[in-house]
Amino acid sequence: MTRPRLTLAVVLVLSLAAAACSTGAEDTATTDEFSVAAEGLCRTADVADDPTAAREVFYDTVHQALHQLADDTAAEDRTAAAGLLEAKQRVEATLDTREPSLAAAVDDLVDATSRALATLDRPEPDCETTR
Amino acid sequence: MSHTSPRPGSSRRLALVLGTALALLAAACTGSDDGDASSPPERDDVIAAQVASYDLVAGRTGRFIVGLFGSDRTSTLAFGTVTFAFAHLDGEQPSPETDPVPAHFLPIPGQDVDLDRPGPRLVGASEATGVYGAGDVTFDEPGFWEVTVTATIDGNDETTTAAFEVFEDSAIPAVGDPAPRTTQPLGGDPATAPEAVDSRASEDRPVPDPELHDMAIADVLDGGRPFMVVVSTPTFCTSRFCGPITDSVQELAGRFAATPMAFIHLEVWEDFETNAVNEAAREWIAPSPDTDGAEPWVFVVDADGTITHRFDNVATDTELLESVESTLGA
Repeated sequence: MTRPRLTLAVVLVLSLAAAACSTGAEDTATTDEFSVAAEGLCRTADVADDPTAAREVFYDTVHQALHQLADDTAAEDRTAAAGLLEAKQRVEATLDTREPSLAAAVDDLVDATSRALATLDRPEPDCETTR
Repeated sequence: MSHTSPRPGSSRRLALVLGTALALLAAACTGSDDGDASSPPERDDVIAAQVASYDLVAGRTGRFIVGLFGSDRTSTLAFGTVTFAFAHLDGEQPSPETDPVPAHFLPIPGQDVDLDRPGPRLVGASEATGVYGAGDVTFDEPGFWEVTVTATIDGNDETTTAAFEVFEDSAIPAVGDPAPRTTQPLGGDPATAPEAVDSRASEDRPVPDPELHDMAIADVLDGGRPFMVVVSTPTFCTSRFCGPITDSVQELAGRFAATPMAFIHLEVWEDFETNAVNEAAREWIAPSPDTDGAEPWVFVVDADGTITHRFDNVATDTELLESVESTLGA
């Protein structure tokens, strides 16, 4: 999977170096994005009994970042990335069908996200503190 | 059968590409602060861009798509029209920007989106998500290019830039090319794991769209039938713009069941965890060692076996529908 990775690498190098060039070393947007997603995942779990609210929180704050997280994780641990994407897919399917198993699916996704973030040495979701 | 990534030569190519990128950046960092086309995005930009097109080839005219986000990446730009202007970055000085071309919002399929809503504006992804696309874009030279996106948001012109590479050639089938004569494993094949037929399936969960897995492409070609093939991985897609494109193709299969058009899904992964790509998918999206296998893709093929349309990464329900109708009507 070469060309997008090449392009992505170029964009990342340009972005990271541009940040260093203009403002000095700072956290990347991706790190912030993952933090926001982790908090959003906890909020999704909190409202899992309300599919409409859960859908809004999940898609507004979690969904896109998980794609990036899975892509980053796959470079380090494809099993962790697979677990994350499978758990994400189950949440999406459950949101579509409005099944009562949403809470369990979201809990599984919190666990899978924790494993993926740990792979990247990033802070894991702390849903107890968020609550 | 399967192959495993990565492929030979990628490290040398990566080093070359990164070296070029850093050289370009060095020039930008040491230049004047006049906001020229090669300047990297400012950190306080309102919007950020990510090129969503795959397989850009010099001299080939096609659609160019870009995803746009709020700078914190928690919101997405949607609705309305923005403009794209392009500059070639290779050489001592970037080329002058092209005249701006309009780019319209293209929603990811599966959403109930009213395209007449005002925009562009930053929204939550639950309201709408998609990319902006300009048709009939041609890059006359290979190398690194930059797109400058301008969007008028709340009355203010906001701009951002993104760099991307245009290749000299590509082995991925294009419009006008003959369709690969693929013989993919079908649903229920005892020699194939269910998840290699559709990543949503398992020993416990049946393939959710069996009607997309009951005909080999080679047989469809031999029968002189047109077809649409979606090469995707519903579970393991890592593109930021992933959507239920396989479901959209399944819906079309039902809608056009009484026509000669066949609809087929090729799952990308034989085994995601071991990085094993299905050979059938590879024939379409990674046919040579220097192609990457980015997905999803949708191809439409006429009754003569010639590709009539192809969509990289994002295809709207309208684009898919129109491609089927035009191929059937040809």
